[in-house]
Amino acid sequence: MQNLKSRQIVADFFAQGYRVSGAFQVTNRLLSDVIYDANTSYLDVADAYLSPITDPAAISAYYRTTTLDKTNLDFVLTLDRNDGLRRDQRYKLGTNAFNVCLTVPFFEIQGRLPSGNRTFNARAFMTQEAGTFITLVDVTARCTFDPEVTYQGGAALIARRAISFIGESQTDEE
Amino acid sequence: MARVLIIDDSPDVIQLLATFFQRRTDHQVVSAKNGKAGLALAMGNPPDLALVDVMMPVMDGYEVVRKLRADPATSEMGIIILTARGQPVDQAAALKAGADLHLPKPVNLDVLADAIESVLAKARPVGPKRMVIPVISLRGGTGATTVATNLATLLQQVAPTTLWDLSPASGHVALSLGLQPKSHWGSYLRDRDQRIADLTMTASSGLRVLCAPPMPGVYGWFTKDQVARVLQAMSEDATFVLVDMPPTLDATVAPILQAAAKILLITGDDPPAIQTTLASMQVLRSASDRILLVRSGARPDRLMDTPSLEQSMRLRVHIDLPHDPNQPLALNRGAVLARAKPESPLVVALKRTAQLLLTP
Repeated sequence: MQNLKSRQIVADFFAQGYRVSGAFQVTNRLLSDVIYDANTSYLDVADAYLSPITDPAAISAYYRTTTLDKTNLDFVLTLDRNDGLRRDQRYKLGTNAFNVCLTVPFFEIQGRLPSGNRTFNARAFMTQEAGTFITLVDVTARCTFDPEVTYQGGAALIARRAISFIGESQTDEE
Repeated sequence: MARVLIIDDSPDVIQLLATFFQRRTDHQVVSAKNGKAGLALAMGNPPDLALVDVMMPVMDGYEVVRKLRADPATSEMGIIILTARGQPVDQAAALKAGADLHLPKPVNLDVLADAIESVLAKARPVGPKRMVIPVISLRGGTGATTVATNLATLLQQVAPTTLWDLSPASGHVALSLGLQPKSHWGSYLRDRDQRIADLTMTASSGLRVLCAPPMPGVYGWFTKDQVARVLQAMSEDATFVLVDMPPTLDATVAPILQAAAKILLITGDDPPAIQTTLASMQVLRSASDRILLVRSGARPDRLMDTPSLEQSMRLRVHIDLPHDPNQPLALNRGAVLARAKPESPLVVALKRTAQLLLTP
C-alpha cells in the first residue's frame, strides 16, 4: 500500500443547495478512495463551514467535526486535481478525456472525463461503468439559478444518482 | 515598516506567516487566533495591514472584515483575505465584505510578498500628517485634563498619539491614566541632554505620555525654545500631539499655540469661568479661527443652558460635554474612561469631538 504523508486538504461538498467547505485528513486513503468506497456511507470532515451555494459569505453554520452522508452528496470539488482522482484514474488521464457537460441539482457542470475508451457513449457510461461516483477534471460548476455564481476545481467527484443529463459537449475548435 | 496583524485559527499558518515576515520584511507582526480576538487587537491599536482567514470559529473572516471597515479607526487599513476557500465566488465575497485582496491558500510566498506591498502602498493614510491640539482652561476644575486624556486615548485608536502634561503644579494626566510618573519633563529641565523619548511613558492604550513632575516648583519652568524642542520631540512618529496646557498663557507656550491645528478651550457656566473664557479669547484672538469652545461637564448641575451661555459670552459653543458620573469612578480606579467604559456619555461626546477634529 502506498504510504501517504498525513496531510489535510480542503474540499467543497455540495448537497441540496448547500456548500460545506471542510478539511479532510489524508492518511492512508485519499479523499477519492473514501468517496468511491462502496463499503462506507460516511465521510468525516473537520472545520466544516456551511453556506448556501449562492451566498458563500453567509456562513450558516460551523462544525468542528461533522460526518457527511455520501448518499446525499451531489458532488465534491477539490482544488487540486490529484486529490480527486483515484490512483487508476491518474494513469488513464494521459490517454483519453472527453469534454462533458452534465447537470445535478442546482448546478450545471462542465469538465473533462478521463476515459480509456476512444469515443464517449453517455448511455453506456451511465449504465455500465461501475461506481456510485464519477470523476471529472478541470471542472466548472455553474449555479442554475444564478449563472454568475461558479465554482471551479481541479477535480469533481459527482454522484451518479444526482446526474440528470450528461453528454459530450462541443469545444470551440469543433 | 508597517504593523501587520495576522488573524487565523491555525497555529501553523500563524507560525509560517510570522517566519515569512521575519525573514523577508521588516514589518512588525502581531497575531490572533480567532476573529473576535483579532478584532479587539485591531481596535486597540490599528495595524496598517491585516491578513484574515475566513474559516474561523466564533467569528468568520467576512464578519471581521465588515466590522473593521465599519469602524473609523480601522476603516482605511489594508486587508487581505487569505483562505482555503479559493473559489471565484469566495473572491467576490471577500471583496464585497471590504477586503482589498483575496488570496487562496496555500499561497505562494512570492505572490504574498507582492500582494502585501501592493496593498500597503495603496492603503490610505489615516488622518492628517501631524496635528497639535492644546487643551486649555485658565480656570481649574473644568475637566480639561479629563478631556485631554480621554481624547488622546480615542485618537490613539486612529493614529499614533502623544500627550504632554504641561501642568506646572503636579499634573493629573498620569493619575488619570493609572501611571506612576517615574519619568517626567522635570528631568529634561534639569539635564537638557536628556532625550524626551526616554522620558515618555506608554499607557495601556499605546498612548505615549510626557508626564508632569509630581512635585511642583522643584524643576523650574520652560523657556520658549525648550517648549519648541519638546514639542518637536513629541511630534516625532506621532500624528496627534495633545497638550494639557498650563493655567496661564505666556510667551513660553507660544510655539504650541502657533503649531496648533485646533485649540480646545474649556469653559464652565459660572461667572468666574465665563470671565476667564472671555479673557482667554482676548489673549488668543489671533488664533480665534482655530478655537473650539468646549462646555465642561465636570459639574452635575448647570447654572444655564447652552444657548444662554452662548448669549452671555457672545461666543458659539462647539462641543457640549455631558456630566458623566462614570468619570470620577474611573479616575478613582486609575482607568481612563475611554477604555473602561467607551459607551459612556462623555466618551460618546468626545468621539464626536474627535470626528470634528479630523474633519478638515
